Amino acid sequence: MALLGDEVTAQLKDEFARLVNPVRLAVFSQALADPESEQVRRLVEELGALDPKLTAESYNFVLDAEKAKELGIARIPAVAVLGAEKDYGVRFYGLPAGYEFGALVDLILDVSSGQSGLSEATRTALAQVTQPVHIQVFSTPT
Amino acid sequence: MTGFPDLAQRYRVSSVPKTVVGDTREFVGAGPEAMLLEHVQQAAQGGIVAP
Repeated sequence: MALLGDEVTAQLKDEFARLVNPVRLAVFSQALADPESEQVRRLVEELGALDPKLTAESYNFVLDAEKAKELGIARIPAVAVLGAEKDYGVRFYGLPAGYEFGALVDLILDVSSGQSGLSEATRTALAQVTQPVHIQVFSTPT
Repeated sequence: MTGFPDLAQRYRVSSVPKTVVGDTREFVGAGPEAMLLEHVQQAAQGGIVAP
């Protein structure tokens, strides 16, 4: 049975009509150790089917350890939101439930457009930063 | 936070949204863009401040 209902599916198709460049969703799960992650895999696969510019790639956290390492995935459930030509380093961990589902959809649209939404001044300043910086945002799916 | 209790404990997440930059810099809520930029710049320079 589909996780996304008909109404949500229709809304998402409208949203994804705004996609600019292709986006790959690499989802990491492990059914036995983390049944919840299996839900995320199913959800991401359904998302991947909604628009030709979206592709879902499913990986097993244990069997595909090389891929997990390549993408810097250290825990599950995880979704790497990848631009077709560029990995902006965006990773979504946990269940995309409630408001967080909207956050995942926004991430997909942002990666697709390649636009951060940051001001010109901020982008100019960030261009001077040469060291990698890890930014983590914690939220709850309310 | 129930999803990743180890991370919630490590970064002392008691209210959300909480943003952690470069492991030791943090703020709660929606901070101004300039503040986030400053955190990123300082983290990149490695000017570690004890939490």
